Amino acid sequence: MILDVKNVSKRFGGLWAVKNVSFSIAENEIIGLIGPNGAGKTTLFNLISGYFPPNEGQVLLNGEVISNLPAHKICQKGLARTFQLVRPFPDLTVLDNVAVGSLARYPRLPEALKKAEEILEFVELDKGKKRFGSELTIAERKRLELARALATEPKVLMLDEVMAGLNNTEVNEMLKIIRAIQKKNITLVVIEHIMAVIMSVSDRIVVMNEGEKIADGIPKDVANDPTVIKAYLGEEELDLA
Amino acid sequence: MEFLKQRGKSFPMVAFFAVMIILSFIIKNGFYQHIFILTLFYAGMSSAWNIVGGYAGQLSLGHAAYMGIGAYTATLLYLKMGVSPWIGIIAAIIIAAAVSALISYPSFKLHGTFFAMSTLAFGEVMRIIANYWRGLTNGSVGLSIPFKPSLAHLMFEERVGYVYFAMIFLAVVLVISSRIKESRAGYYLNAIRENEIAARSLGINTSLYKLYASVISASLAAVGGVFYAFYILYIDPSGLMDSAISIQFTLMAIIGGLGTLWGPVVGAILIIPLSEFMRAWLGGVGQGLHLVIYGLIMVVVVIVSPGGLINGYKVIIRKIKKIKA
Repeated sequence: MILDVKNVSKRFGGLWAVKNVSFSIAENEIIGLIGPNGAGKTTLFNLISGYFPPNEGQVLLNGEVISNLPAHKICQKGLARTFQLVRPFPDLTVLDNVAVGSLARYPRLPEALKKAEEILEFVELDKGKKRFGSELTIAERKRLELARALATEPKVLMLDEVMAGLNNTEVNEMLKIIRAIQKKNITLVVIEHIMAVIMSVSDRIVVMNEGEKIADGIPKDVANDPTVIKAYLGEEELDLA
Repeated sequence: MEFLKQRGKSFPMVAFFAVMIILSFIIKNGFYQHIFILTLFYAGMSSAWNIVGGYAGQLSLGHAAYMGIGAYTATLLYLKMGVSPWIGIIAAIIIAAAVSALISYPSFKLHGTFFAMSTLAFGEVMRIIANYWRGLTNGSVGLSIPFKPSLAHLMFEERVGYVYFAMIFLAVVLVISSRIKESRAGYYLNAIRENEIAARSLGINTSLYKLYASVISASLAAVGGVFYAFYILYIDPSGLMDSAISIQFTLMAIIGGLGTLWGPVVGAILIIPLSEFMRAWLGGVGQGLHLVIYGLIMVVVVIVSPGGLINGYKVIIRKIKKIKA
């Protein structure tokens, strides 16, 4: 197992944002993480990536406990993430944005810039790489965010809604990139709201609701799971009423 | 090719100092020489400030304190123990680096305005300490350095000696500055300035890099302080460590171009001669009138070219290129 999440919980005041969640991911899998708004998906990402430590439980990367490490160490160990609200460096060029990522593996600037060029080509953002982060469209920003995380050469890459706000063509392009990332032997954890997309791309799906894991399995089983349907659509009685 | 590229990058630096050396031969008048020295000195100080304030985006308003630490360290060592200011420079660097590390670590937990406020408070506290620690600093009476010109004492018979010393100071600061800018540290500091959370997620130890920027910046400011003391030959807390001086370093960098290599230099070249001439010409009539001019320039720059003069120039170049293409 490349990533093991063991009984993690996170409390904000009296609210359990994430409660006793466990799951494991095998190498080179694509895991979809879904759930209604406020289910705790992003909090779970923040816990795993070290943005804050869990109140309880552990996260293991390749068998090594990482849940007590700061975010930058976790990245160096090989786990990278993107942010739902993209955070490009607005006053740096696209190339420099990505180079900041590749400097984590290539401390010498010329090499880092060369690697950054390769990544930009990979995500098809190499045209206009001299533009500033602030000049990009939302689709380009999402792609830049992905490229930057990819540049740190992670073993596990966690994508937080990289397709939100994109049109159909852009979604298909992004899907193509995600599949290409999997071919690079990178394990992916994907939060996404567009059901059709997540069902088609994931090997396995983890469903969260109100901070807890309510289902975990292959897409077809999860889609037919009554608890999942209930979480998304509410009680049957309500539907009839 | 790579070699030529490197050469191309250092060309502006070589050209700039060639012009400065030529100017040092042309300017013979004492008053103009004084302005020349101050301009070089402030360009160096503002560039030193720029490493932490511009590259890392941590708006320090207490840099005069580091200049004061440098000035007092070297002056006291010289006056009380006869230690050459050259060794004083090394002592000044060590003390300023230690103080900045001590101060930075807790204050970097603060962000934006709160960080700026904490550095402002630090600067004021240092000034007040210098004022009250009479046994050591002679308080507000200040310390005078007897004029004994020799290279070992860092005092020069001819004022042009100070011109060259200030030039070397600026050159050292600029070389260090450009080395940082074109390296991993520079990229990391920029990333921290732009978005600290994203920076951390990309494997950057943000506390460590901010500390690094702060220590280098403070050390260079302390070296400037030593130069200042042995040029003016008199130091006192309010003339050296006033918050207005800290703010001046900041403003020059902002006017010229925050976070750019040449911004602080451009800012100093514009501001220092202007305010010195104003002070001389307007004399008693315009106590503080140079500050009004200062303010006007700030307003104009912020409106016309919010990124500073250097960036305004870059924008124009980019537009011309677009028209051509």
